[in-house]
Amino acid sequence: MYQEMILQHYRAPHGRGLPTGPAVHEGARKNPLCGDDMRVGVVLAGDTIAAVGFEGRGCSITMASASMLTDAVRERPVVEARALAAAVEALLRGEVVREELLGGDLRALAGVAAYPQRVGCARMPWLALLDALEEARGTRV
Amino acid sequence: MTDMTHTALAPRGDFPLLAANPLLHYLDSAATSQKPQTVLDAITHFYGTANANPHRGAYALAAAATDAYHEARETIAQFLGARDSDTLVFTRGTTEAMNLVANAWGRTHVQAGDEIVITALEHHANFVPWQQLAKSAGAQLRIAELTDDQQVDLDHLASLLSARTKVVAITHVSNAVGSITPVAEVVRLVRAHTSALLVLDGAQGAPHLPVDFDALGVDFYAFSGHKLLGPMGIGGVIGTRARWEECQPWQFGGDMIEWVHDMDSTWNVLPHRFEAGTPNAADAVGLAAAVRYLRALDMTAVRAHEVALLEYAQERLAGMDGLIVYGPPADARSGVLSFTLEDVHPHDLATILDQHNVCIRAGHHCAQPLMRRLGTSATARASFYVYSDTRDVDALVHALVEAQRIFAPVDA
Ligand SMILES: Cc1ncc(COP(=O)(O)O)c(C=O)c1O
Repeated sequence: MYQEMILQHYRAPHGRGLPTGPAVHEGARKNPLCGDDMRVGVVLAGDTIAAVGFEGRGCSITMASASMLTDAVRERPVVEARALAAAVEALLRGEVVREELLGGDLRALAGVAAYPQRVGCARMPWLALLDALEEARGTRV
Repeated sequence: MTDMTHTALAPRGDFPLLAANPLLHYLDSAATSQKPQTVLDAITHFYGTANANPHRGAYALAAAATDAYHEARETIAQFLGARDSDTLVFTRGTTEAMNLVANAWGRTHVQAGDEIVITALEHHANFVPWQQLAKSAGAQLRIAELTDDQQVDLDHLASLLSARTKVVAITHVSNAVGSITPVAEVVRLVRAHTSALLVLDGAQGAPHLPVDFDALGVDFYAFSGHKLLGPMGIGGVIGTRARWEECQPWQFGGDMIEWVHDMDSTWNVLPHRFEAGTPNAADAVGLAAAVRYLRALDMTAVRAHEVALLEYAQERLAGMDGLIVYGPPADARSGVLSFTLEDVHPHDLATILDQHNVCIRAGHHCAQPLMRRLGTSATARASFYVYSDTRDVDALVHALVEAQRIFAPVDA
């Protein structure tokens, strides 16, 4: 599970810090098992995620997952971000996910599936992202 | 180095799970203990020879079940120093015991304007029942703060005590960091300043320290069987007769009644008044076997064994970079090593240790108010018991070094 890819993102996470400004939509999740928390903020430009960042504390899996998330969804259409979240979820459940659906660094999360107690750690930033996108949908005029 | 052999106080072979997993280093006994074969045998023996509903049949088998249950109560009460065994009420464990006291005594005695005093060390089981009682009664919850090494700050505790204090509920031993409460001192303070109900959470006291209820001077003492080599689902609370008399029944049904009229009922005597429904007789019998096992080991020896392991662990870990160990020195601490390691989240530690067959707990230990005060969301916790030995500690240290290697920051 502790592949170099995960450790690299953990040591130097990308996308740290929430975007600022009135147009930020935020999702927040807590892991009741360990008390860790995760906030993900997005700014949309039309149907595209123009800016994304996270704030929180967590284990290497949570932090690496959040870091990879920001790389993966920045400047991507909202529908694609949602599809990516679904693909990550499938990966974490141990399902086979095709390379076209989910590639790059994120594939390193596949190892987490073997540790059911840790799946929640990897999932947390993605749930926070979906919350943020949901909030954005709710407030759109 | 402390002069110590590798031997545990109790042979691993007595514990089927440990015997079947010779490479396993089980260091999570504060969460639940492993069970000796004698306990499993006692439960099987009850179901195989004496199974009937206690108190409810006019036949010999039912009498055998009733006798076995009664005998278990006597054995356990005696082990915890209560001469009057009818003052021991069985519950599912400490959590249910605290809810019992908060309801059976608290609901009728705590009123608006009163105060309930707890401490920042408490397990949620001895925190939330009082918090919620205070809320519903309009009373004020007061929290005694801690010293820098996570012992109850007795000066602060004393400053909270007044004629308004109706309940003082405090842990005997902290599950999260191991601090042992100086009970005699607390009793003296509470009795000097209040006429409050004094409740001790013995979930971690009963398994690890000699307990003499009649000498302690507290009103209620709660415990969980599964933490002292017994089965899950059984525990209890011992109270003084005078305090039990002040309690109202809190759960209603079979066994706890004396007579049921159409419009009202009268209540059975202690302890049955507070044990509604079919009791968990089989697990009570199992727990009695567990306390016989502990009695044979001798609780003073149990305590000494844990202190020796704790000191051995502290020596092995001394000088480890980035290691913070919480709690007081070994003479004021139970066999609990609660710590954080710089750059390694407790969850990551637990996973890596698991890969080395070392079972520890990582998390908030059901003590979120304490974690907030420590300024962390979680700690890693290794905890010892009678079957632990220095090899377990060695495996822990080895795995910690490995975790540190994996997570070491890469030099720029
Ligand atoms: C100090 C303390 N109090 C209360 C409890 C609750 O015990 P149980 O879960 O057995 O009811 C525990 C155990 O988790 C504990 O360690």
